[in-house]
Amino acid sequence: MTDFLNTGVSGLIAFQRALATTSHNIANANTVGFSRQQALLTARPARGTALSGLGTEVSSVRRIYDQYLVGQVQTNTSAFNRLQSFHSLAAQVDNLLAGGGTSVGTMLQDFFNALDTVADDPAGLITREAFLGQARALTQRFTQAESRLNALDRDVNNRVSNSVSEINALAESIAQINGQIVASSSGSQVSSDLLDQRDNLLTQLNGHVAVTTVQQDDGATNVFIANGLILVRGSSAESLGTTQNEYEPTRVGVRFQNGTEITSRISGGEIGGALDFRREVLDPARNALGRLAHGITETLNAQHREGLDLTGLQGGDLFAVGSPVSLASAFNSGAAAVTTSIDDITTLTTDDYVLRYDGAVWSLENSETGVAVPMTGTGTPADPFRVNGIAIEVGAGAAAGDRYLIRPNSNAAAGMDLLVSDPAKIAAAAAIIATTSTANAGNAQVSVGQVIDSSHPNLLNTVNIVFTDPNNYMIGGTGPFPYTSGDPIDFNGWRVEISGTPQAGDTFAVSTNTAGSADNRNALLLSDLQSLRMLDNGTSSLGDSFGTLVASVGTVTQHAAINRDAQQILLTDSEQARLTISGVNLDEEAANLLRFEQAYQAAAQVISVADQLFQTLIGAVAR
Amino acid sequence: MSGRISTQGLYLQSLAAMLNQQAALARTQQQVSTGRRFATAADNPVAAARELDLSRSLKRIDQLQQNISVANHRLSLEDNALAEVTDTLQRVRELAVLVNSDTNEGARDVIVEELDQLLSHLVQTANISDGEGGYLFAGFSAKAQPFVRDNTMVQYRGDQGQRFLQIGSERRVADGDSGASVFQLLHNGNGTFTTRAASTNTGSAIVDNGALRDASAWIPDNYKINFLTDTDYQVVDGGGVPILVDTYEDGGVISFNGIDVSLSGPAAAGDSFEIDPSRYQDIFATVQDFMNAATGQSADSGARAVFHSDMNSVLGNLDRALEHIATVRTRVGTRLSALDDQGQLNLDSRLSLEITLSDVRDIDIIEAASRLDLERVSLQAAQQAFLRVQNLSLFRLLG
Repeated sequence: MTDFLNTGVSGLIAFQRALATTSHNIANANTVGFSRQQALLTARPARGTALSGLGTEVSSVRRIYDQYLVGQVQTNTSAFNRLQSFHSLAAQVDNLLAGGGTSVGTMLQDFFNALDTVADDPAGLITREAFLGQARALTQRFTQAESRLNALDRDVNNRVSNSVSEINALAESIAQINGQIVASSSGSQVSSDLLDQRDNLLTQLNGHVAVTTVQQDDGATNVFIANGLILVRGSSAESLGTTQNEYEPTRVGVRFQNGTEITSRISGGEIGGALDFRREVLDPARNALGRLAHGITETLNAQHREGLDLTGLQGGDLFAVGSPVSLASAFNSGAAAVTTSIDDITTLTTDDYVLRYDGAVWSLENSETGVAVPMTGTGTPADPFRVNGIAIEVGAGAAAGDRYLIRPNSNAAAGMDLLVSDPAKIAAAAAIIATTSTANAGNAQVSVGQVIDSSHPNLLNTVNIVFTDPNNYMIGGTGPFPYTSGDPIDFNGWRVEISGTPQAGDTFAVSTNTAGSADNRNALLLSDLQSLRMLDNGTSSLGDSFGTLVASVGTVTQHAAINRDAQQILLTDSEQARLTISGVNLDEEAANLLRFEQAYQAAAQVISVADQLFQTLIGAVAR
Repeated sequence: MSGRISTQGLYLQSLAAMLNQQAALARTQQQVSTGRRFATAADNPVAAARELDLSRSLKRIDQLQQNISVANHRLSLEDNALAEVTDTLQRVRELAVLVNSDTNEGARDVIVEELDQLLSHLVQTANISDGEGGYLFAGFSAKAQPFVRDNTMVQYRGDQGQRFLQIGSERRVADGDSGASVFQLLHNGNGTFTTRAASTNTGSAIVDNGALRDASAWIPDNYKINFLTDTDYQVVDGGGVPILVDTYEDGGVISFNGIDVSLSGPAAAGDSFEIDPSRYQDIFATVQDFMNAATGQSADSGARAVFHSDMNSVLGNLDRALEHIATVRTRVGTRLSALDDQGQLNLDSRLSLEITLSDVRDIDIIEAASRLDLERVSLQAAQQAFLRVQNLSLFRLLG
C-alpha cells in the first residue's frame, strides 16, 4: 500500500521535473545558443522479490546538442566575420576610387581638357586660371583620397585594438566558466546552461579571431590562437596586446602576452579581415595611387620645364609629390641614413621592399613575397643602388641585421601639391622660335622649331643658321654642314627643319621665344602626355593605370562580397542545422506540456486512489 | 533531416528569406532610379573600368570638338580678313591699270589719296583682332599690334609662329597664319628676278617684268642692261663684266642666263635697266611703291617711261600678292574642310562610344521594371508566408 502511494508520489515529482524542464525550454525558446533540455525518466525497479516496480524518477536532464554542429557554427562565424569586415572596408576604397563624377580618373581627364583650352588660347589669362583650378582640384583629389585611405588605416588600427580587448574579455570569461564546469563536474551533473554559455562565448571569440579548441577530460575547453599559442588553459587565460609595427609605429599589430608579435600569424574573424584588408587592398591601392601621382608629377614637370611662361622664363615644376619613404626598423642598432628617390617612372612598380644589411652586403627583397630583388650600383650618392625605377643611397653606420622598409609610392599622393599659382607662370610656349629672315633671297623657310633638351645651357642663346651656298650652311659660326631640304637640324637643345631652296647668304635665326604669348607648342606637348604610354614599361598611360587600379580594387571587393554571401549561407545553414537538433520547438513543448500535465494529473489520481483504498481499509477496520 | 525544426530556426529562415527579397528589391530599385547597371566598381569591375575608359574618351572628344570650334572660328575670321585683303588689292590693281594707261596725270593726286586710304585699310585688316584680346596675324606675339605704319613703310612686330590645335586624337590643324607668312614672305618681281628702269633714264623704253626661261641657267646676280648708244646695249653682271652685247630692237626680247626681258619704246644712250634677284617684299611695300611712283607728275618722256616701268613692276607685284593671298586662302579652306571632316569623324565615334557606354552602363528599363514588379510580389509573398507560419502555434489552441 505504501509502495503504491510512493509510486504515485514518484510520478508527481518526476512530472514536476519534466514540466519544469519544458517550461525552461519554452522560456529559452529565443535564447541564442540555448540547447533544449530533456528530462529522462527511468522506471524504479522492484525491490527484493516484489513483482511490481516502484514508480519512476528523473535520472538526468539531457542537453540535446551535437558538438560537431556547434564547431561548424564557430568556424563559419570566424570565416564570415573575416569576409564581412574585409568587404565593408574594401567597399569604402571601391567607392572612394570609382565614385563617378569626382573620381581621380574624371579629374585627370578634366585636367587635360583644361590644358587643351590653354592650348586653344594660350594668351588668355582666364583659360590659364581655369587650368590652374583644375590642376589644384586634381592635387586636392589625390590628397583627399590619401586622407580617406589614412582614415581607413586608422580604422583598421581601431578594429584591431577593439578586437584585442574583446578577445581578452572573452578569454577571461571562458576561463571562468571552465573553472565552474571543472568544479561542478567533480560532483554532480554539469549544468547544461553553463556549457551553452561557453559555446556561445567561443562563437563570439571566433567572430573576432579564428581559434581552435581542445576538450579536456575534466570538462574544461582549452583555446589556441595563431597556430598553437594557448589563449585559455583550464581556468586561466593569457592576454593579447597591441604592438607598433617595427617600421611604422602608427600601425597597430597584435602581440601575445609574452611579447611575441603574432600579427602575421593570426587569421579569421574581424581582426583577420581588417589585417587582410590592410595588406591586400589598402596598401596596394595607396601604392597604385601614389605611383599615378609620381607619374603625373614626373612627366608633366619634365615637359613643363621645356616650355616658356608668359614672363619669358623657362617653366618650373608644376606639381610637388611626396618623396619615397625609407623606414628604419625599430630593432636597428646601426644609424645609417637611407634615402630613396624615383629613378625611372617607366619601370617603377607598386611594390614595397625590405632593404637588409648583413654586415657586409646590402640586399633587397619584396616586402610582400620575400623574393630577393637584385640591385645594381654600390649605394653611394654617385652610384646608388638601382632597381625597378628607384634609386637607393645608403650612408655609413649600418650594423649587421639592420633593415629598412622602402615604400616608393606610399607617401606620394599625400604630398601632391600645385606649385604654380600665377597663371602667367604656366609654360605654354616653346622656349625657342625660329625665324626666316625677310632679307633672304631664296624661298626656303624654317619651321618654328621645338625643344628637345630643356636643360641645355645654351638653349636660349640666339643662333643664326647662315647658308654659305645653296647646299651648305653654318650654325653659330661652326660648320659648314650639308643641307638637305626638310631634314631636322639639332643644335643647343632645339630642333628646326628648313625646307625649300635657300641661296647664299640666306639667314635663319633661332632665338628665345620671349614674346610668344600666343604660342601653344608646349601646351600641346603637355596635352600629349595624356595618351602617352609610359608606365609599366611603356604599356599604360596615366588614365590606364587609374583604370587598372579601379578594376583591381573592384574585383577584390566583388570577390569579397561573393565569398561573404556564400559564407553567410554556410553560416546560416550550420546555425539551422544546430537549431534543428538543439533548438526549441514551441509546438513540441506545448505537446509535452499537455503530456506531462496529464501524466501529473494521473499520478495525482493514483494518490487519490491510494487514499480511497486506505479509507476503505480504515472503514472496514472501524466497523 | 529529421523533420524536426526549431521555432527559432523557422523564424530565422523566414526572416532571412524576407531580408534577401528586400535586398534584391532595393538593388533593382536603385538600378531603376539611377538607370545604371552597377553602382560601384565592385558590382561589376570589368564594366566599371570600361565605363571609366569610355567616359574618358567621350570627354576627350568633347574637348576635341571644342578645339575644332575654336579653330573654325579663327579660320573663318582669317578667311574673311583674306577676302577683305583680296578686295582691297583688286581695287589697288584697278587703280594701277588705270594709272598705267591713263595719260591724264592730273588725276594721280586723287588716286594717291585713295591709295593712302586703301593702304590704311589694308593695315587695319592685317591688324584684325582675334576676338579674344589678341591679333589674328601676329604669330605667337599676339599681345603687340603686329603691323605699324609710319610715313614710308609698314613694320611687322609679330613673329613667324603658327599655332596648331588638336582636333583629332592624332590630328592637328593650324588655326591661322602669321602676318609674316601672309603679308611678308612673298617674292617680288616675277618670283625670280625684278626689273627696274634707272630714274635717270632719258629714253622712252619701258621694261616689262621679264620671265624665267631656263631655271638651270639662271645665276642670281645684280645685272644691268646699259645702253651705250640709242641702239647698242650691253648686259653686265654684278662685277661689271659684260656678258652680252647686242643691238636694241624695240619690243624685242633680251635673253641671257636663262631669263627673258623685253623693252619697248625708243631707248637713249646712257639709259640703264637693273635686273636683280627677287627679294621678299611685303604687300604694303608694293602699295607704298605704287604711291611713291604715282606721287607728282612725270617731268618728261624719260620720267614717264620710268613711271611705266615702275608701274609694270607694281602690277607684277600686285599679281603675285593676289596669287599669294589666294594660295593662303586655299590653305585656310583646306583646313576648314579638314575641321568639318574631323568634326564629323568625332561625332561618329562619339555616337558609337555613347552606344557602347550605354550598353556597358545603362539598364534595360523594361527588363528592370518587370524584375522590380516580380521582386515586389515575391517579397509580399514572403511576408504573408511569414505571418501565416508565425500564427500557427499549438499554444493558440490551448486554454
